[in-house]
Amino acid sequence: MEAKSRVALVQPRIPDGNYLPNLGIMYLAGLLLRRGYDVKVFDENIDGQVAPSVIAFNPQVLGITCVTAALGSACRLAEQVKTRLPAVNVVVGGPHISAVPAETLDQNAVIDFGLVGEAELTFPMLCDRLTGRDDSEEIPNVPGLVHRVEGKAKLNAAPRFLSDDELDDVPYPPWHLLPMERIFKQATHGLFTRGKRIMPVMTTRGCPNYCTFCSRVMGFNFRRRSIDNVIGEIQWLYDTYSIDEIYFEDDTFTQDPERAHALLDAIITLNLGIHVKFANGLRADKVDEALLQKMKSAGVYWVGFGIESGSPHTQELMMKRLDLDLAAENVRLAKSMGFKVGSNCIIGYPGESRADVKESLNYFLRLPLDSFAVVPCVPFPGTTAWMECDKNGWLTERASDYDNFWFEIFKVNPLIETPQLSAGDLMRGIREAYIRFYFLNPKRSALVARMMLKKTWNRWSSVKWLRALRANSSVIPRVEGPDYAC
Amino acid sequence: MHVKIIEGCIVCRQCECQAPDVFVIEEKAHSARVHQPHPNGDREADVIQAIKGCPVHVIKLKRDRVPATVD
Ligand code: B12
Ligand code: SF4
Repeated sequence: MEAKSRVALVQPRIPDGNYLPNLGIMYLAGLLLRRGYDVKVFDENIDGQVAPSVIAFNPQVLGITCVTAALGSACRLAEQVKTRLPAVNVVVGGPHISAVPAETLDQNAVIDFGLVGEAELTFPMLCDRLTGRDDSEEIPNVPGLVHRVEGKAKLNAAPRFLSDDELDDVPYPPWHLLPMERIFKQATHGLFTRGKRIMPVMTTRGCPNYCTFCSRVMGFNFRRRSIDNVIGEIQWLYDTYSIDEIYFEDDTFTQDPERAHALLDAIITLNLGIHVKFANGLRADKVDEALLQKMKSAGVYWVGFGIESGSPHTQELMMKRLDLDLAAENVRLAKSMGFKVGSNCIIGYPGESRADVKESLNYFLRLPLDSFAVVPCVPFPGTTAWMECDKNGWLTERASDYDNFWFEIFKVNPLIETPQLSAGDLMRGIREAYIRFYFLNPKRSALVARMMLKKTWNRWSSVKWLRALRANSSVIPRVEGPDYAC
Repeated sequence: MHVKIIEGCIVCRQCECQAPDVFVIEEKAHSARVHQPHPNGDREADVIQAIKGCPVHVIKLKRDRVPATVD
């Protein structure tokens, strides 16, 4: 019998306080399994150093997913694997390469190919060609492929986004490829969590809003999986893995209110008694009492609003264009309905002044929030925010290292400094906001301390893992105690 | 059909998502650029979608003049 072609897929680690398995590579794994590939998935957050296992598997294709802050780890892993397996094809996908494909290939010789955007249609095509299963077509024809021509990166025309029907046709993520019990111990997104066996689900893709700090992979067109397809996945996760909480990771779940109602109705009818959280947050001007009521009946206990700034000027700079009065009204409404309510704020957006920051923080401090995260603006490559900073010379020294392109509450890492707002102003703003929000409010401090303890307890095994890894590695920076990001 | 982008693009990438064969983002120039100023007629729907979606209204379209027919 002919040996199957082997593809390894990896999620590299960044020292983030949150962790979820990566849906993107799991969808790709499912499609490759369907085509008869031998697929293994490795996650540095769970497995620690994965290079020895990848090398032992001896794949023809090594696919690595990567956000900007993970580019360094992705390349280090690829180098380790390539030293032992020089013939392996290293393919990188995900948000970073989708934003700056040519730069990524030109600056990182260890990456052979990149695929931009959604890769359900293109990665199987590329793997077929790289493994010789399909020799009728040239490798470079794959849409969205970035490859080298005479040593220079060349990007093919972007691939199209999946349609609603195509989304339904993608198999549910083959979670059996990952050590699920260990994943359940670590899975967390946000401060408030009820379940112990949490899985992420994405029911829509794309977002028609223009927020200029957002790194887009899924485009502007809002696409929907069918209600039956999503409900089938939830039931399957419940039957197979006894999950007790779903994190919906949609960018803008309530964009189509009719569909949001229909899906919530179906979850209520399913009646599995599991918790539900919109972990990626909701647009604060896209909910109302009827929708919130339905969320409550469906098992939602926490509502996080992505308000991002309480200053109308900054809202305009960010093109978020949120109706701040309506947002405040909805925060109060959700609170009055018994939800725990959280929000987050970006400060230091290019062009934001000290007066804007003050106005923004005052807006949040007046709201009846249970949790609040203030993070400095991270100018992700390819975003308008990044171009604005690049054009005006507002990137700090730290911004020359992509390892720094992440944020975490209580860990301030300013990448932008503008004439209107210095890094010092930013640090002072954040410190003052936390003192006023948490430390001068004993009820909030107690609640946060309780949740952080719970999170730390759940994650103690991962802390042990981190120590073990750090003992063997010089690339993992210190992580000081428990943290959380919004 | 003749497509062009005037000054003021904020590089939100919407046009590139709608019609990647017509619009490209020039990272270095900090702007979107028309890659194919005379797209085929069958691309019109996507180009119009991109024009409607541009948040700062900088994409302009000029339709080719149809010669008048004499019956
Ligand atoms: C859920 C989520 C999380 C979760 C889980 C992350 C994870 N493990 O995937 C948590 C809370 C842990 C998280 C953390 C962070 N996140 Co996050 N997150 C998301 C969110 C909302 C959804 C991701 C998702 O599940 N998408 C669904 C799947 C199907 O899409 P996908 O992963 O992009 O994969 C597709 C393509 O990208 C491509 N692809 C992906 N990988 C690969 C690999 C190969 C080989 C190929 C060929 C193709 C390919 O094909 C896939 C299928 O179409 C996105 C926003 C978004 N809409 O994408 C932000 C997003 C990915 N996060 C972002 C950021 C910044 C972070 C943090 C750095 C935040 C921080 N603390 O500073 C950390 C980084 C953690 C990490 N190690 O990745 C940014 C990334 C921007 C950037 N350029 O870096 C995003 C894009 C948000 C945004 N719009 O700006 N995040
Ligand atoms: S849609 Fe308009 S603003 Fe956005 S990238 Fe295209 S031209 Fe620029």
